Amino acid sequence: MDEFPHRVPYRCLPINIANQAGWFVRTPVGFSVTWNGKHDLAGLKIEFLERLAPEREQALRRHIKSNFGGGIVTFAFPWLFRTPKGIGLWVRGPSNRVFYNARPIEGLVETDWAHAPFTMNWRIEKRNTAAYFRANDPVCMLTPFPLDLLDSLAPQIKPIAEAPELHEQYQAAARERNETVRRAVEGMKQGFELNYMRGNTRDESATWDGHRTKLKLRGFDSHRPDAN
Amino acid sequence: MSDSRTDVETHAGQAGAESESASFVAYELWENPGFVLEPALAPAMDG
Repeated sequence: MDEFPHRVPYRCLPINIANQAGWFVRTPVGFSVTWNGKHDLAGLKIEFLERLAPEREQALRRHIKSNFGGGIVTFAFPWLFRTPKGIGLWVRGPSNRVFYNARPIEGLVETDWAHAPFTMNWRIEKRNTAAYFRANDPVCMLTPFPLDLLDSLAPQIKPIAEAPELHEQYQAAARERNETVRRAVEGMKQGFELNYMRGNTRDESATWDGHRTKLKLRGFDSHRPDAN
Repeated sequence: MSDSRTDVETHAGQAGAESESASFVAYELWENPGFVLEPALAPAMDG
């Protein structure tokens, strides 16, 4: 996102909220992963980017490893997660982050009952080309998700005329957006349309109740007996 | 079950209902070689 002109993605609220919608797991060490194209476990080579003591490297290799073959690098985290009944964990790569030559494989886990931990996996895409993960990079994003939600929805397609108030709101928003684009094309000072950012519904005096411009997720508190 | 655990409180109330506190727990299974578990970063916005 930082590479875009004027860092435009930061002005997109949906992108910013998606970037905050979960908890990261960050890797303690940097490493490269190279896949030779063969599908056996030995086809993947993991090399740490710093010199490590043998016992330290051995411990890390139990958690960052070739476990499935087929160019997959696997993270085995040291936790078993538990969520409230009906809530699972969407296990995925960090939102809107691109890792060259590595693609996250997502899973939705029923962590309200599962007794075994899950792994996070990334697929290496190009043969004989290294993918890099730097120390402290987020290698997994955990987003709690209501498991019954998707099945409960009843998708429908309707003409907008069936929702006249919504249609009117859309037309007003479209006019404002077109005006913003026109001003930009004509070289006038470019402003950014902020109605969605501000949560304005019909005009600037009406703000959507519950609109969020940032998330405030809590950190994990340690309850280890030796924490104090 | 070990007492060794990590808790975070979340809110999982349904719309219109009083939100209740719900737990999201990471039980430590093995020695952690340094993985960090934390809220995803709020990106900096420049104006």
